[in-house]
Amino acid sequence: MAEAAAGRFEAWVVSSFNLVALSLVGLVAAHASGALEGELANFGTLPGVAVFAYLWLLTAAATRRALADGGLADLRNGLRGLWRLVLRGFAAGALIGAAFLLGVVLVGAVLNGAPLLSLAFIALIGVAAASVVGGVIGGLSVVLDAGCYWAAGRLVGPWAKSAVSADASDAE
Amino acid sequence: MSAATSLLVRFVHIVGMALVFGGAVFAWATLRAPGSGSKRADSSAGAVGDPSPLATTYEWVFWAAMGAMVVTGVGNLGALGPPGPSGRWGTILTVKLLAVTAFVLGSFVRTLVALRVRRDHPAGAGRSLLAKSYGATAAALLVLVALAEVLAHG
Repeated sequence: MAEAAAGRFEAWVVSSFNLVALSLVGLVAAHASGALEGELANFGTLPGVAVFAYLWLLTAAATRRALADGGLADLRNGLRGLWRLVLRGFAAGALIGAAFLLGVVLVGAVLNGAPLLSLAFIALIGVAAASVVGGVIGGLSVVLDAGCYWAAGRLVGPWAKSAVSADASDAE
Repeated sequence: MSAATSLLVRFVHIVGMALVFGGAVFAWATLRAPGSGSKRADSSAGAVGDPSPLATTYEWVFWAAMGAMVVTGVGNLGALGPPGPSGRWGTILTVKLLAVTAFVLGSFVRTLVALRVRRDHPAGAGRSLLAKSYGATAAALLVLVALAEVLAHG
């Protein structure tokens, strides 16, 4: 029960961080290149919120699946653990990319009444490309997560040692 | 964007900031309370001294609020009409976006500290480290609020 709760917590914070960080990097890049103004003018508030919520849902579900077998604690197994997590991150990212594109294309096609043949063509080409892009982003996200996990360990480690010393002093 | 939608977007953005800032101050003040850090999990008052439930609750709320603030922040930019990267307003926006990105990165490290303390250490451990983390979070949020104020009011 406690393990399941810990797994849900880990999946929630990791997926939310990855999505928020990716969004911010995209925003900074769009703003720095001057593209933000034009992009926002063509995008309504409600569609924007719906797309973000859909992406968040996909990211949370895929991350839960990717972290199901031990989670970030697998990084304790060194490079082998990191490699396993990167592969899982790639797979999760590929799934997110494909499902995201399919969802957006489907909703767009239904709303605009696009013909079925062109929809299938776009889906076929697009899903393959989105899977690769999503996979690369997923793998890179795991590397970033691993770096933060390592930094957290560096903070907790010295504190744990000093706490043990303080306990020993108290005992004396 | 209609006036009502714009108002709703700003409302969610401000409530999100109030939650993460108020929560960080509350967590910092609760965890640094003198005396309570020495209570043990195996004592009758152990649950009071264990920082993990408070930290876990805060992290759940924090990341939900951050997601909501990112999407409403973009909505706010859409309502105001985002500037190009040049000019004073554009430069301040660049600084704010970079500061928020750095804050999010630091916050994730804090979240993983809470996760590792909960997972790897006995109940009641990590109180002072987490208190410092939430204090630093509140201080960083004050800087971000100041930047947001400059963006909104010049």
